[in-house]
Amino acid sequence: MDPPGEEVLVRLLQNKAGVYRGWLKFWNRNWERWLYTMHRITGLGVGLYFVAHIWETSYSATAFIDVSNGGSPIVWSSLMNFLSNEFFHTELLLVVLAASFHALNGVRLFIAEQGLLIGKAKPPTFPMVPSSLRGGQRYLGIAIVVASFILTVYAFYQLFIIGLGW
Amino acid sequence: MRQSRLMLLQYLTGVGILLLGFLHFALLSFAGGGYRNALEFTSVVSVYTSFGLVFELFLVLLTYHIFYGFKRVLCELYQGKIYEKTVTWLMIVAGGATFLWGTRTILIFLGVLH
Repeated sequence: MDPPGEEVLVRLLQNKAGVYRGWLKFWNRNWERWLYTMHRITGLGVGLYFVAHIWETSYSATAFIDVSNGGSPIVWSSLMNFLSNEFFHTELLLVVLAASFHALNGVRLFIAEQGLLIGKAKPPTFPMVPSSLRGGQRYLGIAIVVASFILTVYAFYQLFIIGLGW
Repeated sequence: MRQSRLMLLQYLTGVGILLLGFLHFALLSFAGGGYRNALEFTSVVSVYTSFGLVFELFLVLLTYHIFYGFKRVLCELYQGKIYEKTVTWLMIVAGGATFLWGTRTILIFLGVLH
């Protein structure tokens, strides 16, 4: 039986282990916890951007009504002029960073969940580090962070050097 | 549907998004002749009329992946039958609305809607 609405809110706020300790307090934890938190944050960010992008493209679609007769290039140009500046391009750059990290880390999670790259199980010996934290997935985690930044540098080139003519 | 199947779908849609996301990224950069050129009116018309159905598939995969992800995150904050059912239905409605709104855009681009 669920408690009434007010009690739900109180319990939501009291769920510190789920949000604060589980998500946000990762600085004194292992590398995988950092990746977990970043996966959640980037997922939420890209998800919210997706909804905004659907709204934004629906506005731009008005330029393509009756496109077989030429559409409205002026409407399109005015929208592009509005969006072509450092503010929106920085936002896109952050989206590229978040999306590429989220996508590549998703691949790492998929691989690890199949039992691959997590190291062989061993009897517990001092200093009691789980073998899964020594497996190849840890190095894959480092590789995906590096790859995400490389993709972001490429996106910077496209957005700022080519797009804005810096 | 069982949670394990929904989670499997989450992984499969993720793989699809990775492939189609790469295509989207490529069309906006090296395959589109550079970002500035890719966003020219004529280039956008050409891309959307050629890849309209691919973008529709991309929209389906993204809508499921994102709104199921939101549901999982929200259900981690609090557990309870009524709460989880409410969150599930809210995500179905919000995801459905987003999907329909995105589909409307693609249909306009394809010249099906005027």
